[in-house]
Amino acid sequence: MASVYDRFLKQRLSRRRLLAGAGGAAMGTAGLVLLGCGDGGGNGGNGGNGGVTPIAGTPTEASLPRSGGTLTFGSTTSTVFGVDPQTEIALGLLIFPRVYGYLIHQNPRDDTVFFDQAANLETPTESEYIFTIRDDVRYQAVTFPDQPDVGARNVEARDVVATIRRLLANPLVSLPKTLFTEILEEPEARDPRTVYMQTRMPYVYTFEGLGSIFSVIIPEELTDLNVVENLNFGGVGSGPYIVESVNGQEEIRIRKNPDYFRKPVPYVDNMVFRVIPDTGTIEANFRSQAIDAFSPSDALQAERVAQFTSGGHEAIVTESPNLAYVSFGMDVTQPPFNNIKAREAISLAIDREELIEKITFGTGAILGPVNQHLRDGFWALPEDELRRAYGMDLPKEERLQKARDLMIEAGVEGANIELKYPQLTNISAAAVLVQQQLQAVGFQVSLVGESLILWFIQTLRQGNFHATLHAHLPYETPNIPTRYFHSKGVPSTESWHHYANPDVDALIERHWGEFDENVRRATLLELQRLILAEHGPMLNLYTGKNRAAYWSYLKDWKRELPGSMQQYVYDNWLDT
Amino acid sequence: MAIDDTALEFQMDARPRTPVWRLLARLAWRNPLGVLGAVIILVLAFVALFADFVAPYSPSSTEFKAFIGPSGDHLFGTDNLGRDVFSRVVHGARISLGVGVISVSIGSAAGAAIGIVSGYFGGRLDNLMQRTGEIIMAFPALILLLIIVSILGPSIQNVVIAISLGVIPGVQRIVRGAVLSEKQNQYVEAARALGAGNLHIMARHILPNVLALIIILATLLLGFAILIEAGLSFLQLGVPPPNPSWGADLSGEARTYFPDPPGAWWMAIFPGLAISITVLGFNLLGDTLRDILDPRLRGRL
Amino acid sequence: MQTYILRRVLNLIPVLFLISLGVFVLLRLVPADLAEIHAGLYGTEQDIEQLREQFGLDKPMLVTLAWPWEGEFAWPWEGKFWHTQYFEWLGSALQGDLGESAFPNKPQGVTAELLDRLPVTAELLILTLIFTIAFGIPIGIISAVWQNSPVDYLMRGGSILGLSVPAFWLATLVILIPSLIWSYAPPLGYVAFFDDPWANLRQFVPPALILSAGSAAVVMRLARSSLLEVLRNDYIRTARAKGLRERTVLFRHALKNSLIPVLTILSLQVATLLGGTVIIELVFDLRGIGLLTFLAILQRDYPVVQGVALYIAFIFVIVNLTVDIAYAWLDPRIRYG
Repeated sequence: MASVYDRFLKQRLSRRRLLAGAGGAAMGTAGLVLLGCGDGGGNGGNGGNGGVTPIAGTPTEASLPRSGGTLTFGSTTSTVFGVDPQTEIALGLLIFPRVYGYLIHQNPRDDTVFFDQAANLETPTESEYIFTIRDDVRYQAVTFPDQPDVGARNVEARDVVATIRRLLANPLVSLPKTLFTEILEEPEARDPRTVYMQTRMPYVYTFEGLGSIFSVIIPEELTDLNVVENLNFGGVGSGPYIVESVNGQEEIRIRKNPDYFRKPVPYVDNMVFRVIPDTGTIEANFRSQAIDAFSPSDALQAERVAQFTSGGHEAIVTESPNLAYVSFGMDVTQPPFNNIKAREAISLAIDREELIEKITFGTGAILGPVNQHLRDGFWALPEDELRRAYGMDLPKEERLQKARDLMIEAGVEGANIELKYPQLTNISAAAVLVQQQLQAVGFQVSLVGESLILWFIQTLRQGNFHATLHAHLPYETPNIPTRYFHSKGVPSTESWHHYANPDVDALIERHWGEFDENVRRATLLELQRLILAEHGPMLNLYTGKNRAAYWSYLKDWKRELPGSMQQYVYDNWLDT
Repeated sequence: MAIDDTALEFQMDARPRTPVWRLLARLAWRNPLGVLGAVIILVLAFVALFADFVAPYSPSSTEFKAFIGPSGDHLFGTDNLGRDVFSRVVHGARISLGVGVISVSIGSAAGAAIGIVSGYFGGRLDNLMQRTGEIIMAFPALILLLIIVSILGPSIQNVVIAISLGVIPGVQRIVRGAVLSEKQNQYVEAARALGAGNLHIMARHILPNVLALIIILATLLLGFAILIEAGLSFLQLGVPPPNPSWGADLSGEARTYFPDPPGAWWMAIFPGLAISITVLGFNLLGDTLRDILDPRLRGRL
Repeated sequence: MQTYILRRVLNLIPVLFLISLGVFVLLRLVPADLAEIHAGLYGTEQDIEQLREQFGLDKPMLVTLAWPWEGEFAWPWEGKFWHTQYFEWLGSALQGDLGESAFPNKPQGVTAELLDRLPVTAELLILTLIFTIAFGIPIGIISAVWQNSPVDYLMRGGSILGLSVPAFWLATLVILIPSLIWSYAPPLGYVAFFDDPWANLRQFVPPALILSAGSAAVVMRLARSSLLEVLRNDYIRTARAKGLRERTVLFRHALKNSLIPVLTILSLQVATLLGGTVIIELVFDLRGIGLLTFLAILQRDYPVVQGVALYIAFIFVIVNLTVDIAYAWLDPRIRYG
């Protein structure tokens, strides 16, 4: 526990340093879940950890920030639900940390924790957390139609309690609920400025839950709403921006909060998040500067966009590893997947290099059960070990022959596989390639494409598949990636792959309580070796790169901040 | 085109004075566009039937490098997954024509049956059929088919079902109109006087007389069916991958990879040309058939 | 004339009702309902049940059918019998409230969403119809007047081509090629005609032209053959025999009569064009009702699809009325028939 607490102190120092300078903060180009169009996961992803490489132009550092202007961000994400900070999983989540305040947030690169509305945190035991809330943070002085007036009052402990209560009670909440599964005990407001929280067990991912972008603080008055009339069209927060208008599947506008407690930020007066589903249209609009920034969908588009210049400005394109990834999931209760040799044959038959070459245009990478882009590979197995496990050290023909031999041993030559996949451009392409690769060793593969939403609710959630390609979200810790192999699965109720291995379960549960990072790492590596030897139920295939393009007049658009971190900083500005 | 007296001669005299081949030659000479349509369709039918021999490679094999431009090895280049576009266009003919022919056959047969029965009997059943048909026709076909496919799920079989359903109301309406006027003819009266049953009259007397109409309709509808299939596949609700479908091959990727790099214009051009030429063939042939077999229909179809 | 129009309106009401009912029932056959979609990836069965209740999906679909000894039993004259998904939707629809979208786009619900997008699709449709008529009818007349001349062959060849090229392919090329050569970008967002006519037309003319290619071809072919047929009539021969100038014969006598079948086909083309707007709006990124429909079908957003169905039925009614009135104007016999 000591090490975690040390990090707080260290981080609070650096936070202060960060805010003292004019720069030090940036705005993310992509959100946590369904955003952007990086080529790792089909849903795209956020900037990963690790290095950000400018592939064109020179990112200019801040001189003197200038106030004003409208920043327009284009996104190909066509699914927009709204801006309810607990239920939205698409474009709307870009505005959560900009509109609402939060107690803390966590840097996925090194698991350090930043304070926002929390002034102090005490941890008397490994499962108790006592937050003290700042006394100078006020809610925005606005009221939205059909919502009670909050009255620009101070943020209080009861708001935190009400927020978490809403999160746990609301049937529309999806991902965040999983992050809170082990933090079941309801928080308690000891006085207006003190919140007491207790986790069900010592749990290393508490901060992932409390510090996720879904864990922003909603005023108590607004948490009482009927779930259908939710906060999708706006809500009062305490962040630097106020919701101006929400036009689902089209655009979201936010405007500057003049009373924000950290002056002088924010500098940009208005921000527009615009949906432009077609990759060609978004490129043309970036070229004409109708939008100021977007995420190119692949390496080729990034290369094109990098050539753009207009009106004395140049396009800057950066590339960073993606936290999202793609895997091949199997129902291990059904033949041929109930035979470990058949699973190994599949793992050998899939040509990960071809997938990387043709889908990420050579910019992607293979991965083990945990993405090596997390914390610069701290939690991941070394690449040569992965290559051996996937048979990539063998010549192609030898690898395929080994797969065929295993199929004969398992007696599954010519077995049928029904492969479902969500109809996202990259995933559809991957499905076609995987089908060809499996057929090359003698499986019979039929493809079933489904719209993303149907794939979510009918195929994945109900574990209703023989095999499926899985477009993963950009998870920020090994928590959810490893839960896929637990017999209770990601939602802590059931495994979508119908997989149960007590040894795997034990290792996963053990690492939840290991606060010493090196001990936890050893457990995670042991767990991953065990999973690799099982060849299932989910074979991780590849992860890619995430790209951002913006015009040089957009200053302090700091891409080096990893993952959702980019969304918590507000001092980018327009030099026009 | 003026009323073709060759055609009249052909129709009116069961035992032509001149040999059939010469009549056909004369017909062809007078309808060069129809011949062009027939040639297009014959070539396409040949390509579709012998796709395995015409196409140099498998349409779904991803063995090549991505984005090779048109060349001797790859006439139409390769796509983003390294598949041979020419082989995909060739095999696409099989899917397009197959879906078109099967769905139009089913749809026209069902539509004709409904049209004949409701036109022949008339009355309340007929009235109900007409009202239902009107309402379905008032609804945009593409939107209706999108709903149907989203109920059934995308697969070749379901696309065929959906298009067949879409074809029925139109065929039913036109066939019924023709049956109404056939019914007035004396031969129907005569047959009935001779004690022929309803089924017999419909099958033996009315059907042969509206058959020409149904054939013309089906030819014209084939073009429509192929366009609809392409449209559904373009919207990713039609023929699922990895089946080569011209419409699906034009969506998404074809547009994404058009600009340079990679400048793969061939992905967006060749499948589109294939659709256009095929539909053109059916339209030319259908038009000509209509002029030859039943010039009176010109205003109505 | 008024009674004629009134009679036609009354005839069209059942059509509205039946379309809304038909679509409602069809949509209930779609796998996965609103509650399941809303419950998301991690929702439990309990969550789904709770949402079903909230959306009213636990109610019967059309009428309350139950045995007399069951709790939910009701007679048709009791209100409860009609407290069903369809009739409750219909009741509020009649008051102008089409309900809430599954994916909240507008705080005011589906009605506002449709009204907001209506100008885009309406302008697209009207421009398309203008192009259809402006190209179809004159070319049809020219083709008929110079029958079997090279001009006629050219026009007819062109019209068959127009029928054969898929609109989405044409649209793709029209967007891609200029964007490569002149770095043209279709304008973002909808610009109302009265705000900036030039920007508005730049936005709408290309898609309308592409969409009108097919329908103009249909209209041209029909106008041609219809005029040819009229020109063969005795009264035209008489008029010519009287020594009237060809132009007078054509425009005074022949044209008006030949337009009646053209009107019929135009009214049928409206349904085809409405379907066409789905693809065209998608390709041109026009935020109209076509794109809304496509996304709603894809996302199983029934309240929106139901609203769209009603809107299509309304257009059908308006088009039919216009055509009826035009018939009556073209052919006075109809009014009293």
